[in-house]
Amino acid sequence: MPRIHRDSIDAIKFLLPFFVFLGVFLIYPIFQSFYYTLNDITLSHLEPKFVGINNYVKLFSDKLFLQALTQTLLYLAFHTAIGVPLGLGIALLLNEEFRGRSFARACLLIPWSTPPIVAALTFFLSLNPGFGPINYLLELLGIIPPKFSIFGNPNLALFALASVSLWKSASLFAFIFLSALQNIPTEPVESAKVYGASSFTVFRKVTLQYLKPTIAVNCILSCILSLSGTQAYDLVAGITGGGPGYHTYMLYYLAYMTAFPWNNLGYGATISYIITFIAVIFAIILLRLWYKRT
Amino acid sequence: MLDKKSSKGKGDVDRFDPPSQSKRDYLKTLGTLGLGLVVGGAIGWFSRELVPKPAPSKIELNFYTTGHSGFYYDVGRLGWKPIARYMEQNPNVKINVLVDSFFNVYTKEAAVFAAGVYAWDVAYLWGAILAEFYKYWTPLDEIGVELPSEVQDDIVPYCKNAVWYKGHWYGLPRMLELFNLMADADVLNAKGLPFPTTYEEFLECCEEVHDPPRRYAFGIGLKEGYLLPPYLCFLHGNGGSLWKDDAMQTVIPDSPESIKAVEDMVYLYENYMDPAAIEKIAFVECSTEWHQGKYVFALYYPWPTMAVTDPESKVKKVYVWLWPGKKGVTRSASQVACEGYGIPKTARYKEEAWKFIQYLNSQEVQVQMALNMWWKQENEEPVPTRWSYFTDDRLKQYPYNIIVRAQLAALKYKANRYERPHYMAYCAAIEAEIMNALTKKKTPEDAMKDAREKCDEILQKEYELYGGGFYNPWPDMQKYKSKIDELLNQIPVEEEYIFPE
Amino acid sequence: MRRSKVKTVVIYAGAIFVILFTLTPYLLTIFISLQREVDLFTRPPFPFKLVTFTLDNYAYILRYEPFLTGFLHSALVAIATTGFVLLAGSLGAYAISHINFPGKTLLFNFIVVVYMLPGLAMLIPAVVLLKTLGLLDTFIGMIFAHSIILLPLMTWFLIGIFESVPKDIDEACQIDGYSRFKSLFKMIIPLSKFGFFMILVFCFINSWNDLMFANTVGIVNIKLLQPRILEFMSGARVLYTQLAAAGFLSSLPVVALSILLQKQIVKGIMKGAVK
Repeated sequence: MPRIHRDSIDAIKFLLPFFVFLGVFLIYPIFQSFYYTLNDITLSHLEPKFVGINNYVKLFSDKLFLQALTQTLLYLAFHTAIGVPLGLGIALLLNEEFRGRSFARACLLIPWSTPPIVAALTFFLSLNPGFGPINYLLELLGIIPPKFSIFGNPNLALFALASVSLWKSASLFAFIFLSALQNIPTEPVESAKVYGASSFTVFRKVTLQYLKPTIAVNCILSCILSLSGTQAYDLVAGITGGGPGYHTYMLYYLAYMTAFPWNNLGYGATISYIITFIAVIFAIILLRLWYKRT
Repeated sequence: MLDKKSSKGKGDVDRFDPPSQSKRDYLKTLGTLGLGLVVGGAIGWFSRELVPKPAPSKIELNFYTTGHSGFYYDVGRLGWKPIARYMEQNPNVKINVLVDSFFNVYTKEAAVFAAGVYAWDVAYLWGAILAEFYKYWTPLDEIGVELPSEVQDDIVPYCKNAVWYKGHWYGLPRMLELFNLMADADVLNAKGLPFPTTYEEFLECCEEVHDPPRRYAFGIGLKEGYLLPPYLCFLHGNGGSLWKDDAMQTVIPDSPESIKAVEDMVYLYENYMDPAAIEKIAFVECSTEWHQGKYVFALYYPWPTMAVTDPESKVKKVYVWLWPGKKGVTRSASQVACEGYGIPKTARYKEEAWKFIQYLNSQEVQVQMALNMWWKQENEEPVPTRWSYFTDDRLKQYPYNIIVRAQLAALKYKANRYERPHYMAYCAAIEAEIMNALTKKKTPEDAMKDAREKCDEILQKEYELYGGGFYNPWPDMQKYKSKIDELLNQIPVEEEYIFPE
Repeated sequence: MRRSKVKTVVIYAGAIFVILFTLTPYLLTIFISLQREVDLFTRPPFPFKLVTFTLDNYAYILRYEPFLTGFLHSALVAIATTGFVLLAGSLGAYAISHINFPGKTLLFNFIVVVYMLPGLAMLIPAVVLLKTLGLLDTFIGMIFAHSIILLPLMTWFLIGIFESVPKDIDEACQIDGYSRFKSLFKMIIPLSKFGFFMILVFCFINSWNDLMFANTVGIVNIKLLQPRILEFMSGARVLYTQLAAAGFLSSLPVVALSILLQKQIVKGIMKGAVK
């Protein structure tokens, strides 16, 4: 039997459980949820009524959807613009040798492994206007007026939420950057130093070049996490519940609320499909970048 | 620098040697097998539900109920003694009590109904869930039950919302409660202020007692999620109504009264409340902080009144009576919460479930639940749901008597909760816009106009699915005004707790 | 390699920042969980005044039946999910990394794309599917629900890890008569021990942390922990100090796990496991 045949059969044997599971539990639900988006269907009236692309058309004139879309993009931008450099900075730091480095690295594991809802809880308590210690500190420093509610302020709540997500994500980015930094060959760096370049120039001209793909990977990861990661739902549900006044509604949360409590399953599925669409675009970009670096 | 990734494998390419860690590997395999056994055992244990059990000698009822806090599991305080007593009286019945948080009830019931699985025989019911999922609950006539007219007349009409939908009864109510105005009596008396009888008087009192940051005049939580109830009090106090009297029963958050109501709320928040209230959850302010003496007035269900019996409470005396409406518009206004128990379509023992529901609605149980009222508790049942239970002797002792009287008096005034199938959706829409007004993001007028837009959209969909014609209990309630006066006279109370009606 | 004084100061300042940044919220929660509610509600908050600490909140939570059930169920589901995902994932990842077959790249790309899909898109159909199979609200159903997200993700990682083991070893195994299965379990997995460990921890953590599926698939029989935490934060009455205690306890297993195995995790990351 030619090698390629035997290999293919082997491959099938190995991939069988994987495929069966994914086929049943992943592919089928995706197609079915797409079918839902073409229908008028609710939890209380489970008989679907075909409406074609009506749901998608409705989205364009839906003020709340557009607001959620804008807010998600803002959140995404903030999350990436602050999170990725922060992660890079932390990684560069932890790449240096100093006493207590392993302790610092261990500390970094805490935000990474904490359940998102517990992270939400943590910041919900720490930033509470009544008894939150962080709030009180900010008051003492004169940054905010007494009893000021950060999560209750329509202009600040979204960015506060993004910062909470950052707390979790920055550590993830830092780890990814760390692994990339470890894999940078030292010859170029050493030779640049030998040629008398300052640390900063070395960083800029050499290290950063090697890190470019990783930076891009992290940026895309940040986008995906903001769009559809479990963080998206848990944090919003735990801290603000989408408030105040819809100002922390993100697409993911809107899709959930529309589908369940507001009893419009078809429309909610449509919103989640838009998220899917955006996420797939990001995923494709991610793949391109990933191939470029390997 | 060597490529770290493959340094381990590189040396072994030419000659195949079993790795020196073979012993470790075997131990690992054994460990995995052991783990597999544990997992398999766990799977077996948990999957035993899938294996059909032999028919039980007892009838087992799954009873799904809730408390209004995330910390709902307060079995100790309430004790669920009524349940134990029922099982004593009916030895062939076993009741499995499943308590859940109110937050979860909606999603759980929706999930169970959509999935069509059996989960409960008796389950928690309230107006919005009943209206939305009426197809998944068992109408009583389906099990051959017809409620006698004495019972139907004995049920407070507001409670009918929770268990009756478009011509069919689905169960019996379990509890009833309304918003009342509460005041720290010692503070009012020290300043020589009378309990306010008009909204304008109320504002004057607030001005006198507001003393930040030590003490705020008015304490309620304003976090989104529980804004509609206080809003309804302000709306009704301005003489307004949330529904129009047309075929669709259009929701009108942009009526002039509604806009005024939101303006009132914004004014109170800015001038007489804790700025942090905007992030506070309803009950916390009205109980824990209340008993620390941080607020003078509160608008809430009257359980915080029970703080007077707690020696640790800084509040020693509470006045509780009617929330005042605007002068010349209405004496008072309120909002009502009523819940019940029903029988899901997938229930196993429907006749038995009905018997149990009747028991839960009996005088003994209803009064017991009212007596379990406590300012900190997780299960709140302030007053019974049937007119004939109100004058039970046990409810005539202090402080129950002042609470029961306040609730009865509030029943004379408009307290609609406007529950219908898409209540959750339009409730969220209205609350979001009220929040926008409170945070000064929009003016009350703009906010409520936006709310109206959203509500129209929601109602359109609801009309398609359900038609209109939802029950409005207010006309029925007005027939009971003299009955309420009668009951009020039968509940004695100290002179100082009697306020103008 | 000498370092300038400035650089040293910057490094240590940065280190302090990192430690504060990661630890402070966590520590604050612990402090709140050790206070009495009465103390919590009086300003100034803890670090700015002395309070008597109490373990009452922990006593409350540890006697709170839904919490204990949630803990147990979450642990069992997480362990079982990890086992299932690693098994199925290893097999699949091995196939993609070590066997040459047509359509390999396509499949790999497909896995990556699938990971990017939002769980919400699959929530309702998956639930309906589970109900049809009679697996809704069962242990196995919950494992499958978690695996929907985890299987593609872990397979993706495992591919990266297995790829770092050169193909020559696999060839050598086969030449010596080992079947592919044996080669996978006896050689490749032990050789990628660190990465594998890391994936194991990652899988456990993700299953433990899940909220969406836990809330929807578990109704009466299976009650997981994270939905309970969300519950504690909602409703008309929130007990803040008990909430803090519950939060800390529910994050303890995963945080402790990741710290105990930090060597493996960090090494696994260093070896390029997290690409």
